[in-house]
Amino acid sequence: MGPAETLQIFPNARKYKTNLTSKYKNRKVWKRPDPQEILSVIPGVVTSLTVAEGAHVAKGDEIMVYEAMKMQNIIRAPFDGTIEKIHVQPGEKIAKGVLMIYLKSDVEFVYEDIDDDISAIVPDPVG
Amino acid sequence: MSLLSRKISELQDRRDKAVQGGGESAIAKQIAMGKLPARERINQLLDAGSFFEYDLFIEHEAREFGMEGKNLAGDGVVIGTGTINGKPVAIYAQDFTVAGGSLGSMHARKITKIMDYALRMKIPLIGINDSGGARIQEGVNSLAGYGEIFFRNTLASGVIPQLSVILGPCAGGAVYSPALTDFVFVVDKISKMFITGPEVIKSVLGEEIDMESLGGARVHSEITGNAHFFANSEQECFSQIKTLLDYIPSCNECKASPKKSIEPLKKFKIEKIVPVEPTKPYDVRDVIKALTDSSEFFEVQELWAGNIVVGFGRIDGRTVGFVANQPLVLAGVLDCDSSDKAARFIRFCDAFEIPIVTLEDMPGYLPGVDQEHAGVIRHGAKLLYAYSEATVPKITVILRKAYGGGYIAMNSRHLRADFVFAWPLAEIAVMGPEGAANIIFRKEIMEAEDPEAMRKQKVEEYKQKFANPYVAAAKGYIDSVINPAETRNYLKHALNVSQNKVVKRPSKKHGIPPF
Repeated sequence: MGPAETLQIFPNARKYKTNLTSKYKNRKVWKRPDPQEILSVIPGVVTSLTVAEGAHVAKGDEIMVYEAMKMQNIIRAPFDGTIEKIHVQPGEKIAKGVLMIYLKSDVEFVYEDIDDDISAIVPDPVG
Repeated sequence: MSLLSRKISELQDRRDKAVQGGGESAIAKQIAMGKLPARERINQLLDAGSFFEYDLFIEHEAREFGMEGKNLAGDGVVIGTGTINGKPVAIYAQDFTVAGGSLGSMHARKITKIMDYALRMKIPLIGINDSGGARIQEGVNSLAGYGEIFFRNTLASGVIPQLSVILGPCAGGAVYSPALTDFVFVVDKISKMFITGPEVIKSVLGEEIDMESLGGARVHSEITGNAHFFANSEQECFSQIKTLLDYIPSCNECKASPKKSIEPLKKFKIEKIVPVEPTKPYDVRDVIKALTDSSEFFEVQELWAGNIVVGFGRIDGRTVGFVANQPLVLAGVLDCDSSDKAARFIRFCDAFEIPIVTLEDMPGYLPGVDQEHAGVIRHGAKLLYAYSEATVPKITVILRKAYGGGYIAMNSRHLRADFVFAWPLAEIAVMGPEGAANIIFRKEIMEAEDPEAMRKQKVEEYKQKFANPYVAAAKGYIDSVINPAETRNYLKHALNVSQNKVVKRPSKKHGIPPF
């Protein structure tokens, strides 16, 4: 084993040293999910595409049929938008979590910036 | 003024002062955050005028860090009893306007007092959580308080229904009380639950995430499965609580109150819901609504692990717990999360004498590296354990597909289902016809002049032979093959005859379920 990589952490105003595990180093860093990305939620095969790039769809419209576990799953538009890019082809075998379609939403998604610091909202009993 | 009226007026003054909580400006702040004050929440949730409060004049005993002489109204929590739908409940509500609802030792003593009442009186316990966490000035006393609460949550588990309502922050150790209770209610933009907040995550891991994305109501309803009911407002949340309490009994030794039996709505035509082709999905909740009184179904954990549907309905006036595979989501497969979700629901029903109706239509367990590595063996085992362990009336209806290990797990005869019915479309086999034919007739297919034609022929042969309910019926593994239109009648009768079901099990301290 080579020299362990270490990291210093300060959870309670006290210094700790810890070795980095490979699990930590390979961890998936969180990123805000983009609802406009239509991802595969289960491994399967694209049966057919109901829409073409550039098409406008309304919420609930069928956009593709995706076979997984012997079921013809109908994938529907989660909101009104335009099919910006189709990344898959009929007959293609898809793993889980693969970007299949990019559906540009008609209305932009806004994220409210909610107060990050809990101590800011919890009054101090003495204060 | 007589002495008595002076004393009464003094009482009134003390009361008026105490119920002000953290005072006007703190209450205004609470309302500005979109939240109701603690007593207002209780009043809206309970039957009008039914709330009786205790320990209003409690005082904390902290003497350190400037706490001496500091008055905290009710020590930041309101406790009492009242009624919902006319039935008694015990309730506590943390008051965020008083020291941020922080938990000190007297605060904890109030909560444990009302928990003890609930357990002794055998009435449901409702906890409204809205707290910044441990009161740091009280040190280990505050940690001791949490421990006392967790211990009682565990003691009360399976004896009285415990409901946790998250109406504000609930962070750090505090999250484990809700996690130990039966049902967790969250409200969009108001509920926040996490062990370590965004600040610590940032300082330790350097990852940035906001509170809502880390532990908001949606996250716990859709991703973690910690929450059971999601609401858009506190009012909606309270009405969910009332509905739930209407379905379930007040304790493990009483029954849920029966209602008048009302036929399902005509628009749910049971024979029209399930497509004949096994590759076509449909919404299994329509089947449930075609079976329940007035087509009412109260779903639990609707937004998480949607490939299995669990919830309450009534048949012939009596509460029934439904567990149903959902072909609309992930083809209705069993996986880690759906097994976990169903297992916990089954154990709740079993603890509170609620019969379980299982509707089965699933292709089996979800294959894949991520499922195997996520521990689908261990999680899947929970489902087998929960069904096997349950001694309440257990009835299964096989709607369409029942393949492989999933067939066994979904309350099969072999796990001691009381009744198993199957529709004529049912396919009960070790695996689907395609897979099975490829294995059994491998040689014939390979050696045939036209392997594809031979494969098709063999698949058809297998379908004829095994993809039907009659092989299982011939062995007595299913009791009756029924016309879908007869399902409600069969269920009504089965529930009726199993009312006095008695099961003797080997004596033991407790089992060791795979968790």
